[in-house]
Amino acid sequence: MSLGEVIARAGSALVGSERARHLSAEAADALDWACAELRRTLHGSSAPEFEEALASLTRAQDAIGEMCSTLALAETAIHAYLRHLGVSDTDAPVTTVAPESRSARAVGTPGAGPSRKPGRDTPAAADQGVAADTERYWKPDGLPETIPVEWGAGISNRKGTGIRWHDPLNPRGSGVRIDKGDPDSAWPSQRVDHVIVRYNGKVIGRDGNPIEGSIKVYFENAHIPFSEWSKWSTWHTP
Amino acid sequence: MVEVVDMAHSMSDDVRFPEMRREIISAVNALASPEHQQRVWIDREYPHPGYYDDFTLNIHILYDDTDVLENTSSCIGDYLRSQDEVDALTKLAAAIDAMFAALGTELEDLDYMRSPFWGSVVSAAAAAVRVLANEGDQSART
Repeated sequence: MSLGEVIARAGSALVGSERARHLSAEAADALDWACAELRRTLHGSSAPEFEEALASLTRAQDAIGEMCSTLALAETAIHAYLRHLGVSDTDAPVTTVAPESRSARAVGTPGAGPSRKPGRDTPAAADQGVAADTERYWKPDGLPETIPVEWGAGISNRKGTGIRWHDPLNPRGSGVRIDKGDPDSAWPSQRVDHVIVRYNGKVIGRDGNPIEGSIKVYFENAHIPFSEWSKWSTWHTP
Repeated sequence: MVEVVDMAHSMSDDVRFPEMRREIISAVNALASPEHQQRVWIDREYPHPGYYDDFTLNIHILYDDTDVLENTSSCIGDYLRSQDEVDALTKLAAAIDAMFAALGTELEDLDYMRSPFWGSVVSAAAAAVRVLANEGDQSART
């Protein structure tokens, strides 16, 4: 195997692992919901068979947590290996999923609502998301090294062409979203690849300060041209 | 016809990330208002220069930036205050996810709004607005 193939496979492994962890989080969410429904059914009464079911769900949650930890460790190792090779992992080409893997996936049916539980993807829709996500994966050229290695390869945005990261140490408060530019947009910031930066729960503007209101109100300030942001000294400071 | 222009008096500072909660409320309000959608998203009549909103931006806020519609139940304390809020947003996520599963994510705003799925999205968002408003956030409106 050539060095190029090794790097490509490492990049692919990173993307796959990141997605696996993302889907695992959804699975954990589903288990949370199932536990809540069971408890609601119990109404505080004690029924051994339900308690057993709850214990099983909890064990499943623990297993998912362990799996995510293992995947995170594997990602760290891959990042280290790529660094050892002198390659920025963000430059590693991504090998796409084998066609036979995609063709085996179920596809959501128009008109079919969620059946597994309210509020989340059906298994079919979730699987479709994996396939679509693999095909949609995009990252801008020249991704800066200011994005911490621990953040991994990023995952595709839910809508539109783009990529996002959440700080694993503060996933709700800090992260970066990059959207691909649309040359036909009426908005200057949207014509080029642009970045939304969240730092400790605040959206950061082009001047490096938190915007003083909604993204919608301070739209242009909140969308930082990628070419500008990629020169920042850290991912959240100019 | 009230836009999200003044969020200074929100009562949402009892969550860890109040600014992001306000973004969430703004996005849910937008999804709940067909009038706002027609006027702002389609007719592009903005309340003031520099303002922008469309369907994609709200999806970015709810899924990509905050993940409140992806990992809803774990957002209590960070963005959300109660299980009622989780339940309401979980239903909104189900409506949007079902629409995306059927139609994909690449359509124009108007195509989603004309689809048979849109009514469920709007009604779920409207229900979520009522729950979020009951939790004390009165200032953020579309």
